[in-house]
Amino acid sequence: MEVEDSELLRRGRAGDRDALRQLYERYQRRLLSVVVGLVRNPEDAREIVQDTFVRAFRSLDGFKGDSSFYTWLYRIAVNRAIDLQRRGARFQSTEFDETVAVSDEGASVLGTGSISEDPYDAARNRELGRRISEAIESLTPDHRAVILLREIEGLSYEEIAEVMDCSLGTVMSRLHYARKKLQAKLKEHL
Amino acid sequence: MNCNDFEANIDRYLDGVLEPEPRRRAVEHAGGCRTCDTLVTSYQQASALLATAVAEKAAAVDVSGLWEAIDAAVGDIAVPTFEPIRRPVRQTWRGRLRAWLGDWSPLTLGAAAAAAIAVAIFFGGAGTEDAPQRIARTKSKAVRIEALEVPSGYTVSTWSRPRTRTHIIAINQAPAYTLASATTAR
Repeated sequence: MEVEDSELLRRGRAGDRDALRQLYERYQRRLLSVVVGLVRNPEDAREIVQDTFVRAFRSLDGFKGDSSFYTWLYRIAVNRAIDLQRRGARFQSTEFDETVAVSDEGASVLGTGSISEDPYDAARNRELGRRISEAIESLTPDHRAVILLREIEGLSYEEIAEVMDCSLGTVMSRLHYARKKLQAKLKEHL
Repeated sequence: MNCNDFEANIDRYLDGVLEPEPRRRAVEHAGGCRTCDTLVTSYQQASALLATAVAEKAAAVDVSGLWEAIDAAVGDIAVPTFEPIRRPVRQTWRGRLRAWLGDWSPLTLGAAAAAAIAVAIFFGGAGTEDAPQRIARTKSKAVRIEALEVPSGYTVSTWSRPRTRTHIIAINQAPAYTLASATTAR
């Protein structure tokens, strides 16, 4: 049976490193999924995830339990990522297909790389990847964060409001705008 | 429900959080309106593409050694614990001193008396630049600290400002504020 976050946090506060590692393994991939969509640069994404866990583990005593641990974690990560984007530090526009993992069976939905892939499909997928990249980059950091938290992590509107420290109405407004923009950008390819 | 109403509620519809009656009307409208039905489909496809793109991007990030880097950066996060001892505080000066020092075993009563003197001398030096990190501050009427359990290697320093009835207890690892130092610091 999986150990509750509260128990791992209690053990972590007492110095149990294994408990911290379990928390890390539980949330690392999920956090990375959101952050990599926010900053787009893989090195920045890794650095932000690392910094997030370090900050969280160093301030466990400051976590009062008013929210869930993972929304607290997301909040730290999203704030860091948004700060980074606003400063424009080390931001590089990276095409999706330059770093997309490719499966053995064929090309990923957005990348190329399989020798057996139809050239037409490869070109179409490259274009689609470019469009998604453009669509995401056209959003402000706040809009990007909201749509990623909803679409990738499946957080509820209330949880997103907690992470973003904004009202429910603001979450709804940003989500609607972001979805509409994404859909409009990809319309001709859908 | 018309198309404007449908689009206004499309996010709740897509996320499955519409109330039953509005949801019924939305489903009914989408079933009979090609434009809105196509809109829903395109929103869902865009979401799916986004999710796939992000997942692939995340999978491509090298996370080898990430835990080790975090572990090293976090460092030693051992924190002193404060365990209240459930026994009445005596009103004598020994009892008040014991309330501050509690079951800190290395101290005898004689040492505790010396500590009281040291603490008394140190009153005037409260809030100096070299003060260790403060981690607890109480008003005397608000909290009664009956005992402190201090891990080995930590030292305890206390300040009190009678005028404001403020007592400060600091616990830190640096040896700078041992009781011997406190007797000479002004």
